[in-house]
Amino acid sequence: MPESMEKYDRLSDEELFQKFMDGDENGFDKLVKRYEGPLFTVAMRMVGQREKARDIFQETFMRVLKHKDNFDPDGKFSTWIYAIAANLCRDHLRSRARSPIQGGGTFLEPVSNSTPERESYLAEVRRAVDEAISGLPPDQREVFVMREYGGMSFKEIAEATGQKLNTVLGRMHLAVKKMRVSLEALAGEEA
Amino acid sequence: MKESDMETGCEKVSNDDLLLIAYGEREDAEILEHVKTCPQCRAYIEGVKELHLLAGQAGMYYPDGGLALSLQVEARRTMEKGKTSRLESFGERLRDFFGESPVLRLSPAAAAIVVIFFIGLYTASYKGESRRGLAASAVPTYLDAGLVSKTLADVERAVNEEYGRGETEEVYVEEEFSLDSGIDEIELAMIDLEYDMGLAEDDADLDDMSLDWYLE
Repeated sequence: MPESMEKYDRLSDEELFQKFMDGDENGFDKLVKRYEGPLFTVAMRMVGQREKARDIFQETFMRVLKHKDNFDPDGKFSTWIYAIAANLCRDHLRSRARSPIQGGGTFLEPVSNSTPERESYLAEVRRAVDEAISGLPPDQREVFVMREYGGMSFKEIAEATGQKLNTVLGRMHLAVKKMRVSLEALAGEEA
Repeated sequence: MKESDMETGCEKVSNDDLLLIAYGEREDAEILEHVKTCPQCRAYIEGVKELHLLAGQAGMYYPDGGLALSLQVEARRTMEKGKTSRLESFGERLRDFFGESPVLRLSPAAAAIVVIFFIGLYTASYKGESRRGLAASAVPTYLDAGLVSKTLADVERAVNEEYGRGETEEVYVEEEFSLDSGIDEIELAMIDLEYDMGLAEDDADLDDMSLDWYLE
């Protein structure tokens, strides 16, 4: 009898991956679900195109499958998967000029207790934030989206990107500085 | 919100430390104490937190549901491929061993399965059953019974050479395998076979024995 999926919710990424390696496909399914939002959002805000983000998301997991034996069991799964995704994003960005994020993504915001005014405000925030992010240089954008949407610590970002911690923090400082200027109009105006 | 807010001008604490504190990645009592009394550092941390809030309000993007599903399908395919390649490798070795017999010119996986089946039939003979009779009734429908019959002697000879005639004990392998048989089903039957043939001496040995044993 298959184990309850609730049990999988309590497992760490590394435990889920080990389950998959042991032949339990539910481990992989759960990882896909767990990373669906954060990883896709990182890709989306890195490359700015939904279709390309979709390709990167898919290719990232395909590489996880293909190179599953390369995962260091003592390492963090999130660092490994974001390193793969970041490389794919960088490859893509190198191959094309910067372009603003093209919408069409599913914007997830709790519907309950949400007034039309708030919906409108949040849509404006999303548009402004996406635009501000797309205005960042790729190296700063990478650190910002990994920290804000990938939920990674600066140390993990340093590991995933192969940079020193102070380099990552320096990029974040510049990103924050530029983002705050870009979003000046929105500050303190929450609906 | 001004760009100048992000230049602390404070010589006591670096921007790096302030970022780590703002994101809760560092807890340094001395710096925290300093921040309480330093308007520039406080403004910097508040600015970062304000941006963090806006970034959160911008929400997440999600791929369409079909993408996750296709990845789940791909994961299963990868797992099956891993199992099949092990079986194919076994089949390749058997083909090398048997040469170009008509049945074993089938796909390597099919060859492996057919031979596993015949090993079962061979050992089942110790129960006094007719091997050829069983072969006729148990041949998977997609195989030509004539071809199977023709190569049975080759298979028997190979098994004899591999394990030695007369050393096997009574076994119970009566499964009818086909390409649709699960690898676990085949592997389990093979482990039973190993046990019954005296290749596994006790239950502890069984833990280490699997299809891999055949691939060594």
